[in-house]
Amino acid sequence: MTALLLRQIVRRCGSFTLIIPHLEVPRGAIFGIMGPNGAGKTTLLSLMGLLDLPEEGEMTLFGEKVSANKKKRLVQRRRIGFLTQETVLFPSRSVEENIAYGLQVRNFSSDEIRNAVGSVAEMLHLSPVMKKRTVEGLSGGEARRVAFARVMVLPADLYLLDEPLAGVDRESGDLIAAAVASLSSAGKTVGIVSHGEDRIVTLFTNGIVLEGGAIREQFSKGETL
Amino acid sequence: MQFLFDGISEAFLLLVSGDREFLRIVATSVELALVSTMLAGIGGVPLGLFLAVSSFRGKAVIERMLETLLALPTVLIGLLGYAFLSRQGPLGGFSLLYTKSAVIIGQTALIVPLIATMTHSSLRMVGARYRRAMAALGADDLQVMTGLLREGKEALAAALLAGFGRVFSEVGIAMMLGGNIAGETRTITTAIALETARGEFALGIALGIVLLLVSLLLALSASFLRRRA
Repeated sequence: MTALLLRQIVRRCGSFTLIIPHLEVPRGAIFGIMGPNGAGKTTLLSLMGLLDLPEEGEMTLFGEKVSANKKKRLVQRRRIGFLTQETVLFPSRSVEENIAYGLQVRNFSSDEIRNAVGSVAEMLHLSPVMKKRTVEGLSGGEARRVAFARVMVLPADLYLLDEPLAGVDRESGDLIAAAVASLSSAGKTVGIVSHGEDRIVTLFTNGIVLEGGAIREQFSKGETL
Repeated sequence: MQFLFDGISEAFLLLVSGDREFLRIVATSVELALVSTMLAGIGGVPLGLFLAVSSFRGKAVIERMLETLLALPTVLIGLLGYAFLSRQGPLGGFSLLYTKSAVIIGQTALIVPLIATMTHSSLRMVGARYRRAMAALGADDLQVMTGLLREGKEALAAALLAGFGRVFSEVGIAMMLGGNIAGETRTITTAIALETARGEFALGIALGIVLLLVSLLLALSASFLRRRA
């Protein structure tokens, strides 16, 4: 079964063009997207997360064609948890409210939100900072864990993570890597952009290496990159 | 110079004695500025927000138009307002000329472009960081907009303060559309103009001091909000 299928995709961003003739992300996979800077990893992940649409080609999410209609696409987009490359927390909200944001916009009840946020916070060792009324003053690792918790708490089928370990300390990196493994154990599909951090790469079941906006090679677990 | 010193000492007496006419003029100015700012906020904030988050053909034209309207002289708005509201004008039947409503209409028109432009520029900066993060977490367009308003609330408050300051200190519209009627449409600025023409400096200076204090307060508040934002 395929979680995400991309066919004949062309995405132009200024002078850069991403071309993906065919890409399949199997359901339950931890799918790695690797490559040098400027290869098109984030552009591809944004397409996979339905945050951008390609100029050409079609995409299928869990067997359903990705809709050009905004409302229908929002429903599809809400099956995806997306961690952006940049850690952008909302300063007007507390740590707890930041983590709860995605559930609030999906109209979950306050009880459901409290329970879900509490368990994710515990898993990522965020309980000590949960009562902070603002995200100011969090360390880089804590901020990244809050951003990750905000995605992890979502009831998604597909999680797309853009360099989840970028700029984090060892402890935060271990916690995030363990959380990614737990998503996979729960049968979720995960797509990860990575520059090659060992803790993340060892989790990949398969993936691709991008270069210059094209797939240079595909790999699956056990193969040497 | 003696008349000036006499005027200043009399002005301080007016300030501390709570003179009835003086207080009424200050209250009228505050009332008109508050209502105009509120109405302009209702129009200008959504317009600025819409421009900040949307892209459509002709957007640049609207942006340039708003920037041009920022420099519109108050007497021109007063003239246009007069043309529309006077008995011969298209809205003459409503008998609004020389009423508070006329001043409010003119002052609102004056600061809608200011509030819209400031909202647009501040939310565009905030938006660049937060829009994508909110959308990535499943927010729809409306939720993104309300989220941006929340994250940019200090900048929005600064825009409203700037609008308030602009109408509080303007004289052209208040004079031409309000008529400077005592107890009705006489504001701080129109009263200062009148008292100066009459050679009565005390009330003019006292009102000028209030104007300066309010401007100082607005500047300090705006600076505080800018630091927080």
